[in-house]
Amino acid sequence: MRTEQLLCRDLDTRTIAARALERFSGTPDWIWVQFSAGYDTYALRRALVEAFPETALHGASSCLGSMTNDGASVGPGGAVGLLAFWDTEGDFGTVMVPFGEDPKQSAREAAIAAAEAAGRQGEAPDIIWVSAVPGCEESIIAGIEDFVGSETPIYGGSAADDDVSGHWSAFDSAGETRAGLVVSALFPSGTIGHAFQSGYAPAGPSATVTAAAGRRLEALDGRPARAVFDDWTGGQVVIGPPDTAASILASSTWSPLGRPDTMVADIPFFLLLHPAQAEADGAITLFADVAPGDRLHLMAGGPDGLTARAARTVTLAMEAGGISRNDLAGALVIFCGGSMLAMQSGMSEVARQVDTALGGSPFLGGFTFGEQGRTISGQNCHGNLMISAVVFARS
Amino acid sequence: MQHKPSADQADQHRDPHSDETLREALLELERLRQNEARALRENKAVLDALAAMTRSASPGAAVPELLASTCASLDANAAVILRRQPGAGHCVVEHATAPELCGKGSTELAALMAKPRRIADVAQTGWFAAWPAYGMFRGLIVAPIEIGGRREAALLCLAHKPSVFGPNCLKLLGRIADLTGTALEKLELSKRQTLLAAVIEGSSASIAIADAQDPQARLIYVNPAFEALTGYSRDEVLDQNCRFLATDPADAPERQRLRSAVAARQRGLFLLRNRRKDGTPFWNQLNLDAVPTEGVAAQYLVATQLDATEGIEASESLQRMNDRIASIAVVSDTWFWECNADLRWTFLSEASELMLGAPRHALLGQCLSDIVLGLDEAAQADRARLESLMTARAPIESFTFHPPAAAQRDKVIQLNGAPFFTVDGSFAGYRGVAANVTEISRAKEEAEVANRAKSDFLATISHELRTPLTAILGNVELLTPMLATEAERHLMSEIAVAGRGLEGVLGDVIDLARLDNGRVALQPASFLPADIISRITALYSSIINEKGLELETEIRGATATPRLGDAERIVQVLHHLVGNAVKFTPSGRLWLRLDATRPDQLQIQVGDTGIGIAADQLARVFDKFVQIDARSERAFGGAGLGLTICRQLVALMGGEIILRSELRQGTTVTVTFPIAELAQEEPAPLPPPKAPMPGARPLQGMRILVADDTASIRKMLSVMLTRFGGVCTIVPDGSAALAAWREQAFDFGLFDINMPGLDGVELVRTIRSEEACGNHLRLPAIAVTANAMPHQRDLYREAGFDACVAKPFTSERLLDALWPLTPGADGHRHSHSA
Repeated sequence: MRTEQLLCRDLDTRTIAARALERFSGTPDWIWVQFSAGYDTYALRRALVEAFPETALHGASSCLGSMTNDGASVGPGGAVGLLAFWDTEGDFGTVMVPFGEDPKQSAREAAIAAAEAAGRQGEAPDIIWVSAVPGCEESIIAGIEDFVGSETPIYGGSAADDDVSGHWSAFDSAGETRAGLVVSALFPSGTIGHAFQSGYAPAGPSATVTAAAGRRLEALDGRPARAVFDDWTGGQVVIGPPDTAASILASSTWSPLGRPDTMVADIPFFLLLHPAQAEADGAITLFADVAPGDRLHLMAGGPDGLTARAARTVTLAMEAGGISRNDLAGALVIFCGGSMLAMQSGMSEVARQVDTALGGSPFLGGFTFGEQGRTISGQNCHGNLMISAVVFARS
Repeated sequence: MQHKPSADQADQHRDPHSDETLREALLELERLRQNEARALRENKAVLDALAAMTRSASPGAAVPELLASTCASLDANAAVILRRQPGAGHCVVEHATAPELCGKGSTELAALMAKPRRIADVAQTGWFAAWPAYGMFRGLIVAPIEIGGRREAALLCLAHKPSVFGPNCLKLLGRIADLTGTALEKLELSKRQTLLAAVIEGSSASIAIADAQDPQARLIYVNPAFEALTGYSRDEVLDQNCRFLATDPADAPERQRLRSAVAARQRGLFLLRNRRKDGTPFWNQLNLDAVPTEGVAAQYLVATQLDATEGIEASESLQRMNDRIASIAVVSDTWFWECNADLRWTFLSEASELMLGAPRHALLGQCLSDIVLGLDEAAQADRARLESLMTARAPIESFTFHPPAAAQRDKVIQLNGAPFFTVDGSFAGYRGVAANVTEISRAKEEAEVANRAKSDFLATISHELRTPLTAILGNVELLTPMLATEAERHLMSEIAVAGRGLEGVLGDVIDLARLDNGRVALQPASFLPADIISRITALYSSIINEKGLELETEIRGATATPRLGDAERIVQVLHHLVGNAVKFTPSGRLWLRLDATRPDQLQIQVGDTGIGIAADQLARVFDKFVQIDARSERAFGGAGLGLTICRQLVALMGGEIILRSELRQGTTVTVTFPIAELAQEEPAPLPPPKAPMPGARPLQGMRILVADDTASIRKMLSVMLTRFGGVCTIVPDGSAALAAWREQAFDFGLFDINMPGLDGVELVRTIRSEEACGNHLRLPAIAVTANAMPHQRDLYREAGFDACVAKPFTSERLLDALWPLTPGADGHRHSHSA
């Protein structure tokens, strides 16, 4: 197996396709595309399909841009990042499906179809790579696991836009969606390693969810969630009158909530929930589901921790797969879009450290509004403010 | 170590930074723990599989144990081993945790065998749709198994539920598959060993194995065939060197050669004279081989032995036979030859060179017919005949030819050969002998010339004797009524008897000569057996009455059923037998018995109470010119040819003649003819004896033209015919007869055949030709000649004669021939042949 990356800044779709055709000689088996929401998804897809008609394309919108070995491009001009895979002994299949009325069932069918598209009908892939528009990632994971089982790693990131206005999208070679998901079934010929991390620790306060509906956190310990969160954060996060809705996506980046996922030596490890909006009715909208009875903690983190966390995650993925730097073919990296927005100028350093950790092997990083991966507990989960990495060996 | 955190536990406050470092370390430890736990589980599963293999009683039992262990380790519901089928792209389920899962696989499963695969839901694939035993399974993992360095098989685990096998299950299955490969290799090795042991034990070839590392090369194994060959039991020979079988001295060349080969641990083929336990010798064809094992060039010495005694003895016998034939061929004038399926010479013995006038090596490989025969027309015909025989794969019997070499052309070679075939029945060639029969051929030619001369002599004598005899007997017949006294008539009758006797002897001599020359041809026709008896009894009734003998006749069987045979020849045989019976029975009785009870034969017995034949003379009775009792023969006449003629005629008809006799008691002759009944045809009865002509002058007023070059015959015929009332015109030759016929009309023509100038045949042809022109009425013509053989009669008939009377003849016989040609009631003349 081999991979190659390309980062295009401020270029039109035709030029991007031409550059990709120039960079990616031969016919790649699979290309992962991360593009800023300002691009015309249809035009970009068509241009890439024209350039690579025999290649499985997996594309999703990314917050402000993407990062590769050539750096992070997260400016207003937009950027498109591509990572191409060639693997004569492996198989890759990509399928896009709309959510329809039953996202879980749609996700299951998408996984089955992706395996078939890879020529491996009925077979569980080595890893599932998924890009869904935000909203029902937990159901999607459940639907995919219905087919591949809970032992198959499910990794990916939710499609994002630049301002949480819903201008996110995803595509495969056949079409694009704003309310659906793209699933790739990957059967690489070489070993894989993966890791799913967060760079946060509990800050102290915690409470039990006493009222919630899906992603709406309504009450903690019987009190309105907004008020409890405001208390916890000392009024530094929730800005504005309590009866007015306010976006707290950026301000809550360093003070998210966390739900304990597992304990190791009596030390809890958390799955993060990113508060996106403080509602006028006292609820808080999150980018993940909560349920009454969940114990939520205030988490704390900082840019320094996150900067190193991405490279650390890549390293952990290599260790998990037993893959040495010399044997690396490439890597897929997911970095939470919210974290990226909070660290924007520091993303170049993140890209550099990841590049160093990979020893220069090609990688592509996307900035997502929700991350899927496998935690230390051995379960496929959806989280926020997470970093994940999937590394591929040449053989 | 891992557990869901409680609320209190999670509430503990930590410094974020130190917590991060701690968390990192804890995560690392947890990952290590998880890896270790996974490794332990895998190792346990592998150990369980290994234990299952090890504790099994046999390699055959290890595989099922291993499969059961695998199922338990992976929480699978079933495990099977697929085996690739050569060529067809198929696989077969060779082993399974449940017997109903064994059997033929599918091309899809065969395609899975190359790599580790994890099928989340096999229902998505439809592979088990037509496989009811597997219909209950949804989850499937497969790992290839290497056997002998090739991915010949695969290990499958199946689960009732889909998506239950994770990547770690597949990894573990791969490790167990490696063990399974070892188990399968051991199983195959065990099967091969069992098979090999069975083959060696059951082999009809004697096998003995010695340890090549042992300086004494003592036996460590012998099979039952060795015991059967040598008579020694296994226990008696193990740990011994094979020299106990030897009979030849130790310094015998073959033994020395064997010892050298054993010492050098080399292979070889040996023929040894050995002795069994019971002392019987045999030829031992011993094939020695050195068998290596890993790291040892020659670990074992393996000897296969065959009892070659029969072959050796057959070979020696064959060699002796070949030597014998070669010796005979060298000294014999007869040469031996062989050709192959292409009819080309492959062997010629030495004597052929002298006869064919060419060296053998020049002839080998050439075509038999090319070499043997020349190019002239006769040779070409002979060649075609020979080739025809060979093409038909028929035996070559007494085929004669002249060698093509100019110096040998006067020689005659006789070739005899028989085809031979391979064991599968394919034609392989000819083998035979050839001999120089030049002298014999010459002698045969001379004999044939002599025979022809004899025949010509007999024909000439026959004619020269019959003609005057005709005059004698004819004139006697004419004179007898003219004699005045009884004494004179008696004397004349003596002349007639002597003449008849002479006629009989002449007839016998001529018959015998014709039989000897093979010039007697049977003329089978339908006849009634009873008619033969009637004719014979009519012929001899008067003489029997005159002698006062009693004649008994007896006829048994379906005498009214016709038979097919030459009745005239049968009458001729009976004529001789009854004649002898009458002749040699002075008084007493005779009997004539016909047995027609069998549909496939006629048996006739002629017996008498006559003088009989002495026992020491019986063997000679059928010889020519043998007269048992010369006095009787002189008394009754005869040349001693009658029985000889009977025997030859009976043999010609394929029958049998048996003579029994006792001196002074009588003789019985029994003749059996293989003459079968005819189915439905009404036979033409034998012509009955002719009734006498009405009136003493039956030819009254008829004009008869007579031509004969013998004056006495002319005279006799003139008197005879005139006495019968005819008006004769007598001429001496054919030309005169023709002239006379042209001048006037006649009622008959009686013409001799052998006349100078225009002979009888040409005379009649000329007459018939002129009659055809319409100028004359048709003249009935009768040939009167001593040459009256059947073929001659045919010639006369073809020329235009209406009848033939053989000389000598009686007036009665002459009238018998003439009378049917006289104008009958219808006023037409018609022809009749006697």
